[in-house]
Amino acid sequence: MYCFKCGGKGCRFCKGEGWVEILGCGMVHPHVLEMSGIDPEEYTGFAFGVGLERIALFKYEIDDMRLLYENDTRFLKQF
Amino acid sequence: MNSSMSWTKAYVPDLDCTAQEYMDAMTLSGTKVEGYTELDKNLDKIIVGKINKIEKHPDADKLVICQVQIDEAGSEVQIVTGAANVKEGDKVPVVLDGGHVASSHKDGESENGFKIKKGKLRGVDSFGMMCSIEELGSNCDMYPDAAEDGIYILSDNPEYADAPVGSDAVELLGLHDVVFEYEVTSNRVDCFGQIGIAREVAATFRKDLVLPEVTVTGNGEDINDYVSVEVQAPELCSRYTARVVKNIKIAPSPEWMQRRLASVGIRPINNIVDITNYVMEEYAQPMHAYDLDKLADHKIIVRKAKKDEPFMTLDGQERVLDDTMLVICDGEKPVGVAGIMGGENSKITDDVTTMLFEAATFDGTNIRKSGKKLGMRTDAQAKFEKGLDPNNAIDAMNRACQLIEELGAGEVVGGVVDVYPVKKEPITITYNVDKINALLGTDIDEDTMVAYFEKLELTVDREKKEVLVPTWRQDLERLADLAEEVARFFGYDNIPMTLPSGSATAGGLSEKMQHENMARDIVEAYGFMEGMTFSFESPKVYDKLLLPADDVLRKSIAIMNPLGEDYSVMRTSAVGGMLTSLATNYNRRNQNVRLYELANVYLPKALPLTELPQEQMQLTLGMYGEGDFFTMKGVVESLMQRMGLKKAAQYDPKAGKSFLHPGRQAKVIYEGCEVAYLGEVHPEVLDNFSIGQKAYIAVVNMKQLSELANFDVKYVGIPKFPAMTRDISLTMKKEVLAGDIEETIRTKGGKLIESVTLFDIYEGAQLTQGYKSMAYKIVFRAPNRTLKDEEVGKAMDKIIRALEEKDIVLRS
Repeated sequence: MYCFKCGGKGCRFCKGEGWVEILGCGMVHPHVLEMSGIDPEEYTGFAFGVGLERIALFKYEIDDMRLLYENDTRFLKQF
Repeated sequence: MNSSMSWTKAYVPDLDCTAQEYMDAMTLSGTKVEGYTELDKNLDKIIVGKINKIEKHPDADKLVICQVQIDEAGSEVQIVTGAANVKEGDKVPVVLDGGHVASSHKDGESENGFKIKKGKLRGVDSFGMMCSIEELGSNCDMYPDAAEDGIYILSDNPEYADAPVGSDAVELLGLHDVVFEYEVTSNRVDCFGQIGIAREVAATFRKDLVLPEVTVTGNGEDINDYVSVEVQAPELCSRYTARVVKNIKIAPSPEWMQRRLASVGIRPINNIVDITNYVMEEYAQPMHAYDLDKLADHKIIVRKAKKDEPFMTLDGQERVLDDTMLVICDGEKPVGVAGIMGGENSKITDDVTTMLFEAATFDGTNIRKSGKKLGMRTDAQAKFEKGLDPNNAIDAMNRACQLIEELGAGEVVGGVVDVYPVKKEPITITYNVDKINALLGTDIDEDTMVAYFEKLELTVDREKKEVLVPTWRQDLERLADLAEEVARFFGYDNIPMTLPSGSATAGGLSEKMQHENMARDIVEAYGFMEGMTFSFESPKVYDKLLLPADDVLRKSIAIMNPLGEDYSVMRTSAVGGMLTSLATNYNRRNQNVRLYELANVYLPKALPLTELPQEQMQLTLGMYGEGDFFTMKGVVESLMQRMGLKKAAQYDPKAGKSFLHPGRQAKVIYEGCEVAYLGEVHPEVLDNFSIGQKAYIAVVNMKQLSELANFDVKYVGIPKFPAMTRDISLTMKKEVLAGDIEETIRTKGGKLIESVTLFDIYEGAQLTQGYKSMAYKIVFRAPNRTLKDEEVGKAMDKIIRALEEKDIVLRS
């Protein structure tokens, strides 16, 4: 998605890319299906995973991930 | 991996896009561009100037006044400089009035560069500035012909001597360029080379790819008269190619080569080293050069090293090899660690006359393991460990020899030694347009797919529906891989969006989650805020918590590949994290802090692990500031009550927690189960965490609490008869526990007792030293009649007598 800080123009937060990665996803590799006893000729798989911290950073415009784990009450009470 | 726009355009001449367009398109087609640098970002109005005249500055010993010609017509500007290395007739880069440079002599580099304006230096007008290489945004490593400390004298370099006065100096120095940085995945070894990147560029932008034409090289001699090669470990060396170059003339390489190497961050050295690096960059095939005269018997043997074989690599470090590592040897001794680094004993020096060029491919896993054991990581190794294509090696070799001839760096001996026992053949994959479309959710026709394949230099047989995959694309194995290629060039963002369909099921929270949410609501009502700490913990925390050496909590699971010592075990308790969080708040002067965390602890059943550990959900509460032990106890009681644990719980002061104050801790027992423990933090532990005031901790076993939770309510008739209430105030020794008193009152009072409530505690001057006073409200009621005074009086007597036996007396 477009970087929430600069809206796609490129900034320090998105390392000038204008984009930020929000989640990884893709079709499951046929090898993986085979190993799990699923016939890749019959079935396909789609996998995706979201990092909760990343979403929180975007949603609340938090610029430092460490804040999430410091538990400073001045931070916590904002939510 | 880096590439420059100008180098890529050498292979894709029709490429015409901005840096941003390039980055977006390449990233979307799967070659992720991390970022780019425009080398001329801060360079403006910089031309080639010629110093026609130099005079002394009338008022400054260190300054001179130059008349600098700035166009072919002969216009001059006056520039005052402090540089000592200029002389009349020199051609130099000149930034004119109003122009920009990347860095300043005085202030160093700046993100937005520096504007140059006309001004006076010690009273003499100056209309611009002559530049050093640093002011142009580069350095002497990348431009070895530039002066170390002074103005870049262009005319000292024969290639620049004829540059027209007034022409663009930035252009001349190859700085109108953009450098891109990529994140290449390890299954795309081909993209670690400029040609591989260019192939992707050509396919992405639908332009023609023009690869360098490698010509036949070599004189009439036969390499076999110069050297012989024997591969004794073919399982680790799939191909070994060698060629010989004689009559070597070491010299600087031409500017075009230096500029391309510099653009991707490689420092130009001399023609031989530069050609080796250039070909490695171009083909993603590392090469190595040996001084042939230093190779005993003019022989190369590729074998495994002997156990503890000593070897000095060309960086001058003494290494000890083992018998799993692959070495390149001459007739007597090792001369290189295969794929990692050559030896000091055979390295090329300036007086080399004949050399052996090596381009080989090795087993990637073996190279990675050897590098790890030796603690080395070279550029060559980084490529080899991904497993290189043996068919690419010979192209790289011949390209290097072609460049040797073109640059006049030496005379290439005819023929190639090529030990290649098992040739790697391209594979064939059958494609099926419908299956690819089904996999992608698209509707792409065959012509389009075939066009994508052909742009990637896959050979397509439309009759047989087959694709022949060149060996450099080791990542393409089956239909799904072809589908990926189609998706990349069709554009992931062009794949239509669809919603998944199927039968729906009812959702909801599990009982465990519901209980956790209740616990959250309850403790939050008491002002506790939810925090979060890492499940990875430092083993040092056990000492900070004063845990005895044999404490079961010390038995934690070690992480195989930890982020660092501080995150090296799975926590067995969340108390360490809680105290750290309290300390952070204390340190930042936050007052009245109340935190909780609902998180798993990881309790191994045996170490080393024989089965998965027990993951136990715990509610950890921590606080300092307002409130005390009883506040915390109240929160735990309230939690239990609201979860339906309605009977009285026992508080056992022998909780045995080393990190809690020995006299102010308790474990909470309900129906024989330990549900929680709580207490004041031990003063020494407070010190260990640098918390400067009293703090309290409670830990609730959520699994236990959840099992005991009971939300069944059965109606009990509202009392028809009145209650009688008695208040008593008692004095006793301080050690006496409230739980014991209540227990005595309840048992002695019998069935008539409805409730017992502690409503006051007093310790102080009114009482004997070591004693305290506690006051209780006792409510008596019978369900079927109105109680008489005497009945209650009798019960009270029994209670008081029983208490007196325990040295608990009515307060007088």
